[in-house]
Amino acid sequence: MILTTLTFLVFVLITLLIYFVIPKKYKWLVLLASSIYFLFYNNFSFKIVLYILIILLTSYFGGLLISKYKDSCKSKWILLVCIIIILSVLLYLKYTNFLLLTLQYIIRFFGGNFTFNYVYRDFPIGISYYSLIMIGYLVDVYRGICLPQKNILKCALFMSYFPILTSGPFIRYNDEQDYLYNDYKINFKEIYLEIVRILWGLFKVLVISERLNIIVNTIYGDISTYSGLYILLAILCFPIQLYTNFSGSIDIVIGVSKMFGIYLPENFTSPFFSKTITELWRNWHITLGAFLRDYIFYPLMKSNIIQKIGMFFKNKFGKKVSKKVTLYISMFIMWILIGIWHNGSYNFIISSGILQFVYMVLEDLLGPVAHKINVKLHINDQSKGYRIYQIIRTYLLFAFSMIFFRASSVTNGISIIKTLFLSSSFSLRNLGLNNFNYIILLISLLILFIVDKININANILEKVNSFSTVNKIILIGIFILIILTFGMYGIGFNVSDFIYSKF
Amino acid sequence: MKYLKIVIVIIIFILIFIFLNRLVSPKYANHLVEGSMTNAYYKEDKDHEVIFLGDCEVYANISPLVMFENYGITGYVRGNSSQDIWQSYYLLKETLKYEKPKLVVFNVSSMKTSSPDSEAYNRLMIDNMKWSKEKIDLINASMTDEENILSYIFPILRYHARISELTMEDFKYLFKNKVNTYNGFLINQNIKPVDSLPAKRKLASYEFSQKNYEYLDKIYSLCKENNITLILMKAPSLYPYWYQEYDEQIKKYADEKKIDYYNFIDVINDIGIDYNTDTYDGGLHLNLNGAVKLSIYFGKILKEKYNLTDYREYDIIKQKYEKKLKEYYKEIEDGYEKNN
Repeated sequence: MILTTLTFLVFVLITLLIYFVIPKKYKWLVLLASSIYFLFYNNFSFKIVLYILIILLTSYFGGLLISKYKDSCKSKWILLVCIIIILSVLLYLKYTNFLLLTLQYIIRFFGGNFTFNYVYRDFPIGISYYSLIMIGYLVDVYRGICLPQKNILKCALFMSYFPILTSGPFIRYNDEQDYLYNDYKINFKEIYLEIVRILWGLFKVLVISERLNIIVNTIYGDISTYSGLYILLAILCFPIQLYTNFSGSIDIVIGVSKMFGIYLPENFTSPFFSKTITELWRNWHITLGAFLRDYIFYPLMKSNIIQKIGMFFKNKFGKKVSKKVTLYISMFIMWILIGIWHNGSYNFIISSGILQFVYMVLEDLLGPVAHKINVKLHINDQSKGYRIYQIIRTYLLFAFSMIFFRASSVTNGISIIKTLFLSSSFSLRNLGLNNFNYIILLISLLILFIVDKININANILEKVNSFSTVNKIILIGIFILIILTFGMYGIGFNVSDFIYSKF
Repeated sequence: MKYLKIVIVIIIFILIFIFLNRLVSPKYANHLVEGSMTNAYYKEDKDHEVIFLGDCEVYANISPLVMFENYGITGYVRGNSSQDIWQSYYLLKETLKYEKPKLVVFNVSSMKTSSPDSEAYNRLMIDNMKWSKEKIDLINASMTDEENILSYIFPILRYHARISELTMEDFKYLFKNKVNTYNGFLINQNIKPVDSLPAKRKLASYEFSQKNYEYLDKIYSLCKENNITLILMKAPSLYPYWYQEYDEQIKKYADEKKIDYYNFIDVINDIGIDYNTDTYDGGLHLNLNGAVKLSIYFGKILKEKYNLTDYREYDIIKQKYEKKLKEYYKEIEDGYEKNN
């Protein structure tokens, strides 16, 4: 069930109605029932149920056992076994091809002959999210941050809470347990804000992202025809397309959740106003970054092996070098995992992993050098102009890395880069949009720019909250009309194409 | 005061919403005029003695005005592109709310189709139909798997992409519909002789579906309840093939129900159809020439066999039809001028 469809909105509406009429103590069961329905809406089979049950039962019993043996070293082993089980399910379902391809590369590298056949496995919706979420839950129980959930159905709700299944954000048990299981009284004053948030998400996805999608798909879909400036246009458009699509979905998820009284963490905070890649990643897919930082990066930094490496470099090259080396090793591992998490293929590892790591290392190493050069050249790096330059630079670097994110493979990504340098004529016609649509796109991008700019230092929703009820209703009405009229949704219908074609 | 303001704001938004729905809907005025046929009926005086039901084989092949001119028959074609039998049934139901004809002539070619054909044909037929229980039933019966009744209620959900392609026609016909037919007959003066026809294929099954028989029964019962004589016909098209097996099933049904069935494919020579001059698409549909010949031929049968009134003897009706015939011949003349 896609978040931007009428089916999803009707589904949410029905769930909301039942949620508010049902007695307090059973409200969470409504969410659970809806989540189970959502989980199996498009995909129901014995195997799918089995995979979900393995993760649920491992997490549930694992949590109880870790808590039971919390003072003995058994708890560490239980945690490890649980993580291995959950990751095995995830690897089996989503990363078999990636592992086999890697094996193929390795064997061929050593002169062997091995060709793997692509394996297709049906996997449950949201598995990449709740596998990690449940690992986070087990680690939190182990660390004593939270107590284990004793009711398996409540544990199932935490794992399968339906709004987050398609696009996140990553949630943590300790943050959400009160919201998920406790009674919630509807706040009619805030419901306007939640509706505005959902509509804003729909606007971003349907009005902006879908239009950009047409341009990007047209160009990337035919790189033998489109080259040079066309490729540059696609490269520049894709990050905004991705951002509006992803953050728009998150707006819907957060808005819907707030209607149930569930507060979810923000996942994006005006990322394209960032001055460095490091800053950009603090504002982009925030919950994934935070999750991996807390559950992988910090534990890695504290791990024996990294400590030993640190000691080795400290003795050889001094404290400063040792700090950098341990930091970069941990960062490298974390970014590779971020790349793998996005999808088990090398183009994702390059785009969301290696390139981001390289950018950050370069920023860390060259930042002080650049500052010194600026001082010598009397460039004020605190000026507005310099800030704009930094923002554009960051966007361009990010856009370049996203070539591999959008590409179907590493080879395809390289081909795209090669065609970027081929000369070509340029016209905005024949990219799938007419003049009217370009105007709508430009106006929408301007609105997005203004809203994101305001959101840097303030929360625009708080400003909306200060509106009178009438003005709030006007805003909602305008949004609905804009989305319905200018949104790109539904089946394409070219009435001229069909007439008498069947004869 | 606050609540009054809220109510006013909501009303304004509803009005804008209605306006936008109408604005983006196709107008079917000068392009894809097949979409204007269902609506054209509402502008008619509802005093027809014969209603012709069916798909393009009816609206392209039968000219009620020619029947009036020659025999004084008042008829109307309630036909649309690729009109399925269930659509014919609900259109008949709707028609009977307005008038009670003496005869209903149903063209049986749609008996071959057992499932909704395509969204596009549904849209052409349904978009401009007046809202009624029949329309809701018709939509529910006609929708393909991808369709949703909400998009019929709120056309903006389906046609919003047209906002970037609006033309003057969309504003000109914002609150009115253009009539492009003459008592349901759509003039086509083009000529495309029959060149060659695709080879006849052997079908896996020639059986009409149970569902279609059920709807044919419904049409039969509806006519019977309203004391209307039902007649079945098959227009003289050469393609798609009307197999012998199809014909036998209709003959059997007609015999059982004691209703008349005319298969005009059998009498092409008697009608005088020349497929070098009388078809606009190589034998699928008749053009104006062919339609006139068929209308004269069939009108004679209707007049002689079913005791229809000669309305040429009624001044008011005669005057009304003379006016229509004048416009009809003017369009034909204009068409000839355009073609030559």
